[in-house]
Amino acid sequence: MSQRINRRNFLKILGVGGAATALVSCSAEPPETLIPYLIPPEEIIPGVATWYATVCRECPAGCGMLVRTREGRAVKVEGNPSHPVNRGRLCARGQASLQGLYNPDRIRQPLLRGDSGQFQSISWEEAERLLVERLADLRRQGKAKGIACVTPLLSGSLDHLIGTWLAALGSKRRLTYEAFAYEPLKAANRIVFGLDVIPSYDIGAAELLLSFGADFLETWISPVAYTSAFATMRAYRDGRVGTAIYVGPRLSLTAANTDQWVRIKPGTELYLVMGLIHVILKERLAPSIPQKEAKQLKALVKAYDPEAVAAVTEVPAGKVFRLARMFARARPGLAIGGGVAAASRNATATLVAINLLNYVTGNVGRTVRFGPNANLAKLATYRDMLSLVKAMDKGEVQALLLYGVNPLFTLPEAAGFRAALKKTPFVVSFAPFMDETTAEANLILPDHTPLESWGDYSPWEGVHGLMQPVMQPVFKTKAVGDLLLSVAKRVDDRMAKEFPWPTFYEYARDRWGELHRRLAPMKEFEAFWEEALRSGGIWKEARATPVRLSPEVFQMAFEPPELDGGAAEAFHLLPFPSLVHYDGRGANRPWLQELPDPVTEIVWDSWLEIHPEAAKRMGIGDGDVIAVTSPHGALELPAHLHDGLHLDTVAIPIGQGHWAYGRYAGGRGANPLVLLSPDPEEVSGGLAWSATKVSLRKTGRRHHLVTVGGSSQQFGRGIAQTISLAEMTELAKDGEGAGREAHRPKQIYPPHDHPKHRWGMSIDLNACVGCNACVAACYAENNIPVVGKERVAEGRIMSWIRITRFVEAQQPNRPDIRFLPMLCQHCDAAPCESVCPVYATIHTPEGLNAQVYNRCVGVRYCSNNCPYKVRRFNWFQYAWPEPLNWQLNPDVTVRTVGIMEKCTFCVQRIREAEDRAKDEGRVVREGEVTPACAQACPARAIVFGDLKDPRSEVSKLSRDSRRYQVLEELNTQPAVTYLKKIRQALE
Amino acid sequence: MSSGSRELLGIFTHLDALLQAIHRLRDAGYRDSGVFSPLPRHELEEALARGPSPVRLFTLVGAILGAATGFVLTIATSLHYPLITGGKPIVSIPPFLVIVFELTILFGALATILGMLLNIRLPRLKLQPDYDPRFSVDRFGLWVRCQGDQIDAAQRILHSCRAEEVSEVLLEEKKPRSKRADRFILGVLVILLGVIVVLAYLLPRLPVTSDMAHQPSIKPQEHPLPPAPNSVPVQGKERRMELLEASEQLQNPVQATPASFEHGKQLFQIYCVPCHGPNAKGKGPVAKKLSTPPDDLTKESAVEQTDGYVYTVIGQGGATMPPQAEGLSPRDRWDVVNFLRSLQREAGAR
Amino acid sequence: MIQLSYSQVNRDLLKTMEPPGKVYYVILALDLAVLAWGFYAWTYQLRTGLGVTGLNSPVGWGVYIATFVFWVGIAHSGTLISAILFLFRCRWRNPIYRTAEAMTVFAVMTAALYPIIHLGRPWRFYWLLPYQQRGHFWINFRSPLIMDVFAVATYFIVSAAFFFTGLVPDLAVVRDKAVGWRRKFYTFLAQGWEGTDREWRHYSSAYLLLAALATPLVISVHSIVSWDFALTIVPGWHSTIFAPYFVAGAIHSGLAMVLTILIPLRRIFRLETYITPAHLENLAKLLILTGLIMGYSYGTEFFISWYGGNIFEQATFRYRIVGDYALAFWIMAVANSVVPLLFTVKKIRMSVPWLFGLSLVINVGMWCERFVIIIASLAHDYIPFAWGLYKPSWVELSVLAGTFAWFFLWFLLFVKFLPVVSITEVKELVEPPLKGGVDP
Repeated sequence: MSQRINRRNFLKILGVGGAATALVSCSAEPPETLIPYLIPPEEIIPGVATWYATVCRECPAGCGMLVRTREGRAVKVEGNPSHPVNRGRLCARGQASLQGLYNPDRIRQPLLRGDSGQFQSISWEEAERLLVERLADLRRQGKAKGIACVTPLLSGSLDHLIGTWLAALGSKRRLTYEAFAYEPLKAANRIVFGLDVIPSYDIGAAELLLSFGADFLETWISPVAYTSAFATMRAYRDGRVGTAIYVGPRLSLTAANTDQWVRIKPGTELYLVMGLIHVILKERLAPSIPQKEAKQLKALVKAYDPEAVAAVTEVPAGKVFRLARMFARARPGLAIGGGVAAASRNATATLVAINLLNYVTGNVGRTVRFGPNANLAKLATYRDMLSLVKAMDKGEVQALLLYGVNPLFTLPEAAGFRAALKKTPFVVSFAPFMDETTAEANLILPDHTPLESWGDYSPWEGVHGLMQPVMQPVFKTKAVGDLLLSVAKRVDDRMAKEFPWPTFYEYARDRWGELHRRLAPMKEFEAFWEEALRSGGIWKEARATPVRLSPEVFQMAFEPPELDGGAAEAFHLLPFPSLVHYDGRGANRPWLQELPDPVTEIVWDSWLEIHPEAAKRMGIGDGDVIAVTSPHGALELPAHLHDGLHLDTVAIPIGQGHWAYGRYAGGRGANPLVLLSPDPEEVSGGLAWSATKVSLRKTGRRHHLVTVGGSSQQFGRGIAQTISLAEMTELAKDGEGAGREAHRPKQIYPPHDHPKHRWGMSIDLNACVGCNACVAACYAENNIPVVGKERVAEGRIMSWIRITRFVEAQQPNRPDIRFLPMLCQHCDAAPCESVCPVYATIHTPEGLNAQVYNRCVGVRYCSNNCPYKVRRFNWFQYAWPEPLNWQLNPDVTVRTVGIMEKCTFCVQRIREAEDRAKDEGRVVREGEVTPACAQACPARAIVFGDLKDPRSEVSKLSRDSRRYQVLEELNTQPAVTYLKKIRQALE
Repeated sequence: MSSGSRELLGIFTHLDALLQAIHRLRDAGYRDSGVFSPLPRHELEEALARGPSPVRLFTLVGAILGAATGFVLTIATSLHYPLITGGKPIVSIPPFLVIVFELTILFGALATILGMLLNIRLPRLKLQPDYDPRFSVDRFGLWVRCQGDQIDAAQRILHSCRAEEVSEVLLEEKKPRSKRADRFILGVLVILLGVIVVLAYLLPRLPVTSDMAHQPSIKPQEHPLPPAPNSVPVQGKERRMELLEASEQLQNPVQATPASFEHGKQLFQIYCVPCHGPNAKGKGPVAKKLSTPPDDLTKESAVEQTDGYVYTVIGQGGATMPPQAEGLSPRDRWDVVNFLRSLQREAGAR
Repeated sequence: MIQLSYSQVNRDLLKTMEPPGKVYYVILALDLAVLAWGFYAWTYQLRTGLGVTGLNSPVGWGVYIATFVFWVGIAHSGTLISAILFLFRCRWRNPIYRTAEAMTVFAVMTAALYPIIHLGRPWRFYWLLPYQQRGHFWINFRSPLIMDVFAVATYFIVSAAFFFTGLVPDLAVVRDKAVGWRRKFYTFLAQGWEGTDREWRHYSSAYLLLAALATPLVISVHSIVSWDFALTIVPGWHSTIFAPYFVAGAIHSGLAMVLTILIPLRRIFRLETYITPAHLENLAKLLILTGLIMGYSYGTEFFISWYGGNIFEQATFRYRIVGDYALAFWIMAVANSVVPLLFTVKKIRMSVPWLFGLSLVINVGMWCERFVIIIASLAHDYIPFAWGLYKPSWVELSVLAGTFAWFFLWFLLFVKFLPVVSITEVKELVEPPLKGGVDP
């Protein structure tokens, strides 16, 4: 007995001692345990990955994530398959959350602004003391009301904690602020249906989708969920595919993926919608609604006969008729709106009209369901923010606590937040990064990043995501929850009693106890809790509540939007959220900076989009730096000619133009918000994003906008192919396998066999929307270096997979933009292999085109001879600034200077699966291997598997009637099969 | 005068005179003679009537050797380490022919040089005593060797053909080859050869680049971080239970299926047999080395223990028994338990 | 036939080897300076990686490889003149072949530098050699680059051997004249040559055989270099005409280079009596021939790309004419196929200045040809999205300059240490001294 105790304790002490060192010394220099894992914690085996479920907090969509950790470090994030929002898929921003965690520009310890105005680092002890003293004072002086706290959209424990905590201090000034808050959407639902909510839109079920400026593939509400729904809707089923039409002044990525883009005069969407209702009612296409309502509605839309509409919107009357009929015919259809890009001064009116349109065509309750509703509705409105600013201005705010928000960057400059901030005596920021607002704070108490902290987040009713730390904190940071609790203990005894929980972890558990009682009372809590942690949360179906028209709608007045700015400002400004930077929070992630904007192919920059004709009129060329002035401000940006734009509109992406926020974000482009008018939209109190007019002036300077693409023409080379719906149905008749196995020309050499597997991939161009998620995933999985703007300009970008974008001859309003993910085709007769003098690239028995890094001498002959140009050469020795290198995948070699690299089909994953199969004495199962790109793809466009197994999904698809291979005539016999995009002709 | 072989050397300015001298000497039966000339002249070759040079044979042999080497090198090496590239067969003759051709030429050329050197006994550094620097300018030389008594006649012939000067060469000075020079030349060749051999030995032993040995990524066992406390990974995490608690609460979740049994047996042989022995009687090969002998797992007290107890001991270790949690996943451990039970049953039966 | 005595020939031709004057040393110093700069540039490239060049994806090969092909091409005319013309018994080659052949050897030595310079990891260059390497595998004999290694190496060894063989009798001449250390030096080089009848017999036979071997070799080498391109699937490279077309081009550029070197040479060393305008004219005539072949090849390439109806080929050739590298293309087209035709005018081909000027133009043209073939084809291949542009960086240009200096360094040494005109073979052109009237 004695023997045992001694030994075990001895070892434990070592281990715990190590753990302790780890806990206290969370510097970038990784702590060392004396004897690593001598008694390994049950779930850790060195060299074997451990997965944790948590929630992605890069945007309010709240997708579920699984995080792969190695040696106690997060190395890869993937979508959580059991999470109802994203069903295992994840966007580029989610992938890049790792670069938030390991960002070299993170704030590493508490900072205090000294008298000199410079920040100096202080201990947590001192930092907390300062905060406590300040708050205690305010309470004593009865100025507690003057404590204001601004947070992003939270739900569950932290939300509740902050609320009660503030209340206990004696303040009600609590705002949940997001830049994109969808106020009009909310207001419109209140007006039309009497519900102040954001419903769920069933895009997947829609037959005809009509989007009025809602970029649901990019940033609108829940992009990942909607992308996969969109793919479902577009999928070919018995002779038909869903139709999508985009109405808006700009050809966004979303618009580029629709069948038709209706170019409309900005701010006049309302008229078109009313026109559609007008036609539908007039032609009695909507029998379902009661007579009385019909009459009232008729009255409402009386003025909007197609001719009138055409006059205002510049959409021909004929088209209005066609759209109306098409939409009415669709069973069911779905009209959505409320995107940032379409938020002009009558945004609410427009959305009211859209609601009515859905109502009259009977879509409400079918594709528009009130329940589960989005928690986005809980957000404070922009107007509330303004009132806070006013209060600050008046000096009513003594202490401002900022957590996870950056108003200085995301509020219009003219809203006067900067001045107000100056007037606030005590500003505390809990931000993990030195963003613009934080840089103005007096005291900074850096929070963990979401991947290091406990919490829970519920984007929709009934979806309760649970967040847990996937690793020890990287730096000396402190979770805001823990901080608030320990502060509460020190403010005074009453508060201490109110908040007995030692840490936020216990707090969250208790909160979940309540959830447990509601959802699974018979289960033991411990089990319930562990289950929730393992599966990333708990979900239950939320029932949809039936709705009726509220009388309020008939009091609605529909006015034309007045734009801000007079005759001097010739152009209508259209700021649009960037796909990768969202409201700017993504700008400090190098991966996201290096991802090309899918529509313009520009990297690392921000620009002013202008229509070529307008540009010609003003003598503006691509890359000319333009001074943009509005009544509220001015900025300078390089012009980019983009014909997917309304003639007198200019567009600027939101998200760049940071002046703080770290090395990767700083000093790139400009932030369009300096131009915007600060007054909120009347009805909803939301920010009128696109209600400003601007004037342009050439500065004479030029700025090089770097794009990745060479030419976006195809020159009839049939690289990205399409098939018309008619042909498709023809082929489909003779069933699967109609895609006659590629007519192989006579071969000189006998084919070589693949004894066990031949790995292959199929990519469905009809599903792919060009969102770049696969590219980001590849960067994360395969240790691909980020090279920076200059190198990209030199043609040295390293991405193994990239979305090649081809623009076909543009018929007006009919976007034919084709996205084709191009990666190593793993040819069976690979041109690259036979030219390598040293066998550095060879063909494996499993059909992979292998690249042997340490054998390569770098003659680059293989790259020259690769018709797909997917090989990347290491022109330099690339570095990962500490601690970014913690993210590197230990299973993938980091390549050095002078050698060739390329897509490996994630061979490390194949090996892992094969080893597992070997241990269990079986063959690899279908679907057991999934490369990073396929795993991430929100549209499920990429399928990977074994071509040797005729029953596998991929070999089925390789015989599909839409199959084709790029440059098939070269007889390289690729392992990648593409499925043609389905074209449908709309009149 | 003394008999034995002696040599005369005549120096000529004019080609025709030289030719005449050659012919006359031949007619007079002087066979052993030769010519120095600043440039090759066909007239001389004809006059001396030597046969065709054997160098061509060297060339032929060399060329054939080269071709053979080419084929062997390409085909043998490809077969020795067969790697498919570009879907071409391992032995792809067309590209190999190029190598064959080049080697044919190379070996042919080298053999030719060799042949020449051997045939004309070059290289050497010491010149013949009868060599006259003028021979490399514009004079021709004709030497003739003969018996002592015939020397005067020869001299006469030479004079008659208007040799510029005629002199006797002292034969004892005339050594056929100069050894020292040979050694020098040989030395140079040997050194060259040596270098090649050394390289041929060294190159294959140079390591395949160490360029990528040092990785910026964190490798297993390098600076490992302990997992975040309270976090639960996807595959779940079992709570550390104290032995007693475990033996009461833990239920065996794994059915004693043949599969489980087989797996358990396999693991048992790896992890348990060394100490506990094949039939769990505690008589493993390592057992006798231990101060406290491992338990006999088939004895009553052991059989009576609950699955939970056995399971926990396997995971956390026993008196001298080290913990096996690292090597054995929970599932593995339950399988071992199932197998152990069967062993105990056997033992009980006997 | 040259009306001179043997001794006169010796005297004239050995003059070139007299101790040089100031000018020579100035030039030498300049040359070394450029070489040093080039070397520095190269080390810089070694330290930082190939990123310092203008190379990128898709243009993986740039001026390095272009110039490699250029030099290998230059090398060819040497062997042509020394071997092929020898077999054809063109006696007029005798005075000029020595220089041409020296040029060959040095050109190959220069060309051989580029494949190593352009490697991503030059410190691993020996992995391209045929020996059993770590892991027991060899090299990929299916790769055109390995063919290159063999071809170029063989070509260097054989032409060097040929060159040296031809030198031996002359070295004997030098030896007999030389004194002091030079005597020792040349005694060693001359390898004890005495000019006995036996020596001449085997020597001539060997020389003939070497010439016979060198002739097919020279054809093969540039064919193989051309296959570096022809064996790929890159539009603009993948063409069966490449081998003959490259060989012709090689000889074309080589002849031009011979002119460029001979003309100053005969001027500086006053060799007009030996290297007469007639020789230059013959070279010029050869240039007309090769020029016509070039023109024909260019024509054929375009015809095939049009007639073959392969859209990729068509696009590539359209790009060559009007694309980003059109200038280089037109220089090449004019300089290689039109300029040589000027030599049909007797006045021009007899005038030394014209010859010199035009030979330079042709050299430039031939370099441009290699540039166009390599860069213009790579810049625009199959996937338009992957198209890119290439511009040589200062590093590449410096290294280039350095390698040219390297070539001329060897040439400078050559003219002072070896007889630039073959004494023995010039003597063969001289009427042998006859007394006449020798009584039978």
